[in-house]
Amino acid sequence: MGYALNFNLIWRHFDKLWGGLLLSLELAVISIAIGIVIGLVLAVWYVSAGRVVRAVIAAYVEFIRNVPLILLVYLVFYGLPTVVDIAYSAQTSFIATLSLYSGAYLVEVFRSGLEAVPRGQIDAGKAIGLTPWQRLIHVRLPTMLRITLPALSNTFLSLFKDTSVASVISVPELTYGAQWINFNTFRIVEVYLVVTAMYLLTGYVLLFALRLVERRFRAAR
Amino acid sequence: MSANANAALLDVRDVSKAFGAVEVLRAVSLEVKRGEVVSVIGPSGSGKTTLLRCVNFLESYDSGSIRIDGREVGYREAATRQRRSERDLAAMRAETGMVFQSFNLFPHLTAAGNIMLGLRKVRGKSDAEARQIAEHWLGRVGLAHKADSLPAELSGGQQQRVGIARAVAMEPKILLLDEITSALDPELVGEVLEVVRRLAEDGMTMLMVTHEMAFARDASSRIVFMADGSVSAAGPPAEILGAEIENERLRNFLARFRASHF
Repeated sequence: MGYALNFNLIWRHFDKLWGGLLLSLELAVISIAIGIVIGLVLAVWYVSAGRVVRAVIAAYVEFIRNVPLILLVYLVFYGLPTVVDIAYSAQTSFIATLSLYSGAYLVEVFRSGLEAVPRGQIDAGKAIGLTPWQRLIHVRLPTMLRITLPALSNTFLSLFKDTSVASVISVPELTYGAQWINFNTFRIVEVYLVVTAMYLLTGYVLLFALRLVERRFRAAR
Repeated sequence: MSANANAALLDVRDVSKAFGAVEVLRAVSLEVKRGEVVSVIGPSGSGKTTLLRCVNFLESYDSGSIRIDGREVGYREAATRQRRSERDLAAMRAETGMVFQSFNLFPHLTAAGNIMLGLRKVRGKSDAEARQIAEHWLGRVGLAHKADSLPAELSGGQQQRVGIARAVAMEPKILLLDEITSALDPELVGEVLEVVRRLAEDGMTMLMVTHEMAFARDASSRIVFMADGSVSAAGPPAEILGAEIENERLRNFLARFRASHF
């Protein structure tokens, strides 16, 4: 075993990793933003809808939750364009997939959050004469967001890691950058050591930042 | 709106309600005239809180009629029992104020913010106007210095005083008080009752469910005793809480009450 670690080649191509990391973050941020919209709309719809709508939303959630992400990525990128006449880049396709994916998880998060809003607060909103829509905007959603903030940051963190799946359709995010360096330099151990450290470090920074936000809002309860 | 000045502001007629097989209200009737303070007393489970929640339609009822200032509350007409639209209900509820046993302040809004929400969204006041009204009422309940505190930073008594200010700032025709001191530590009860006493002096019409017998005796124009979902006795405090009581249930209730409160 005479393998000597040599990071020189990694540093020479570090721009691939740095650019990849930024793209990973970008993919995660855009996807969670769209996912939050999907999750909010469907959760609000779910709690006020009849049986049919509930069944449809539940089916979407169950489908997404029980199919591996990598399969969803293939389905949307390779499968959909062969059936429907649409064309999109790998990156757009991945953002769409990850948005639908996070949306499904967030429907559940927001739905249980809405149901956890204390009855008394809703009564108080009714008693001062707020309409159902006003109660939603000014009473239920603010409390629901406070309740769901920890789950929301956990979802974001795992979404950040899930962006590595985009490498299978050649989106040049962090894991793809690692594979590129790998193919061109064969420094397998070094590349994955560096990339692991990058995921880890970024994850910790994000976690720390999100916990700060959570603490701020918890103090404001 | 009202046909004559002597007509009751709140007119509850034969209201009945059942939760499944349990009849919580059995043909309850009562009236509150403008400027009157009416207290509802009775053992727990007698339907007092449910009755109060029917008055601003937080609960629907199965039959009977509830009118405020001549207008049917939850239904377009009592006879057809066609429920009002949500928008209509919201407008009706804005005419009644309610103070809750567990305060129910909005936790994400400051004391002033809690009062301002209804003023801005329901009464259409500007931010500045709403703020001014909120500060006025916070001053009236002795909390001018707590305008920018969040509910979590306030004691129970302070929270409940904000709850009262939130309700009266809307200038309701009638104020509904639902056991508003029951969740408070004994030493905080006084400050809240004092606020209610002053509102009564100012002529606020109130219907309150309470376990504070001494307060009910001193502050009420009339007392209604409920048992098993119906009005068992009603009259002026001296009559209901007096020395000679013919109504056996009321006598037992008061005896039990005195025994547990010395």
